Amino acid sequence: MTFGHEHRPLSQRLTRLALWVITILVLTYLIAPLLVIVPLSFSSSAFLNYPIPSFSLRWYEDFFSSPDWRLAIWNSLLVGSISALLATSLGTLAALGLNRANFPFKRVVTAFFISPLVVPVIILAVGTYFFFAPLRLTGTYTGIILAHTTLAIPFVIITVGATLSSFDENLVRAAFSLGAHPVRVFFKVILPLVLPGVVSGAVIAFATSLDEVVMILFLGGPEQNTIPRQMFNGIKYYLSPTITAVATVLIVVSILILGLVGLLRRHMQKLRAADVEH
Amino acid sequence: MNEPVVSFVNVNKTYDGKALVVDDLNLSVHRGEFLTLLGSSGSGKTSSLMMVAGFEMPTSGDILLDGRSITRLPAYRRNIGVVFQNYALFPHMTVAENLAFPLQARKVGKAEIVKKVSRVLEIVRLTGYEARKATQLSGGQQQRVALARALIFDPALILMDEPLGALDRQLREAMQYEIKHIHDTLGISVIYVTHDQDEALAMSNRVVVLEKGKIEQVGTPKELYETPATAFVAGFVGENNCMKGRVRLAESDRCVIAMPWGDVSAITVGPAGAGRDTTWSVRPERIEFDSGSGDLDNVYDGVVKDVVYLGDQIRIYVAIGGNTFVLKVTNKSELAVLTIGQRVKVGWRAKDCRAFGLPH
Repeated sequence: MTFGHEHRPLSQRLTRLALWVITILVLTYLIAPLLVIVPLSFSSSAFLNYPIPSFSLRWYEDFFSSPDWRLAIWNSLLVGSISALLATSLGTLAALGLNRANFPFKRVVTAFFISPLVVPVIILAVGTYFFFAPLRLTGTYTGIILAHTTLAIPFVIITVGATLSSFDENLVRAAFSLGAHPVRVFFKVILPLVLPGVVSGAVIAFATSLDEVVMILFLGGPEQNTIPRQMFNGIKYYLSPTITAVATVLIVVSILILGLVGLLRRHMQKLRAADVEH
Repeated sequence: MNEPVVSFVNVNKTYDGKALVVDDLNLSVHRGEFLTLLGSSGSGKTSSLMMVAGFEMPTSGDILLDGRSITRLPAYRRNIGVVFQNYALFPHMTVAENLAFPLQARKVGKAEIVKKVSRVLEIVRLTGYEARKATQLSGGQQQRVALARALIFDPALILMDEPLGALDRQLREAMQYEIKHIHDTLGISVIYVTHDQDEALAMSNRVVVLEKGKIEQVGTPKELYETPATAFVAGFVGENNCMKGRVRLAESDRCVIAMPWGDVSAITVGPAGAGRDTTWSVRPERIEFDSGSGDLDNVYDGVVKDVVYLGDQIRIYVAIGGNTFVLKVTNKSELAVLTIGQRVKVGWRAKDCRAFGLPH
């Protein structure tokens, strides 16, 4: 039995209509706040309101030229890249260890490594503050980097773990049997094959640090102002439209990061598909 | 030829601390020998191989390579080639890079590597495939690359873990011949693991039949087939008619087994004294239709149950009393007249009939 579209019962057509309406409402709700910000960042007005008198790039200029914002950009890049590097190295090693044959309390250990993802950041931040204070790590780059590394490690463990789940353990055995030292096996066999997972882990780790605001509020001094912290200050003390420019730049960077992760995932699937063929 | 390359000395292996996967294994592999570990899954054959390769540690006992203990030597210092069932080629490397891997690990010079790679590709008949990605090859080609990679560094020994298990029948037979040919040409020692008894018989100098971690029998393919030492080997290697009965009379090496449908005279292999239960066997091709010449020691009346036409052979199921026996007869026209339900006289010689002690 086939019916043309026009023959669908009324109730079914209403359901479809409702689905569309709700979908559009939800998407609008999610995207509108972002879209409102973007035109404001190109406004010449010093006030955050519509209509926009004339277009200007002055807030972008302010973002990239004022000493406060330049320090924030530099801090964000520095903290982000070093903590991403640390989180990627440690997270990859942890994922490799967790992927090995069963050892006692494997589930507990896994849960422990993933916990920064589950525990509310505010609790981690308070705990880290009281832990770091006597060690004089508060208000230092080292402290921020360590805190961000902790937050980013679970993401690396998850992405690398996902690549490892399809990794053939016989490749490692084969490499050993061919006379390769464990270090050589790691760099020549394991790392090249899990690289997509490692890179997407690194990208997500960097993104985690880039938009992290709670830890930095607790642990950072004025010297360590990152972009989110500087935005937070901007909202608190004077509402400069510069933050709309910053927000727009961050949105673009986030989209690029998402795109990169998506590309890597596609590449991974292609590799896996090639494996399955044989 | 009898100088040992690898020796297992009282080797035990358990994974859970209770069940022994390998149970007090003592075995020597001779230099230049093609030795097969044959058994079903759970027989301990793969565990034994993994211990030689260094991927598993014996729970107790010692493994010697060229007389030196390697039990505590890490896998990468053993100089033993391993060929896996799933090939385990590095998917991110070309054929040449896969083959160069063991040489680079040994710091062999570039020119030497190129020379060795082309020579070993010649041996496995894949000349010209250097630049292909490993994943672009067919299953048979991948396995030949895997074999080449295990050969290229002149290992003391090559281990093969069901290397042909993933190939289809025709390719498998071609590869059996090829591996055997390479073994004969290069004179290397091979330990081969398989559950396929045809493969074991076709390729090996000696076969070790393993069951539940213990050696059932070690022997040449002919010895295993012609003179199985246990009821398990009789049933596992080649096709066999295995029956249970009770020994009525036992002489030194002969016995008479009482079956409900008559007495069977047989050779005593295991400890099967008078009055004890026994498993006895007779090969399908050793059962004959009685021509009345009197050279068969055991002759019985039977009924044809089924006739299966296999081309070169005909399999005939004959019921004697309550037991059904399989006969294998080469295809000759006069047998085509057999019909189901027909009464026949069949028999076999006592020397082709072996009585074993009860399986443990």
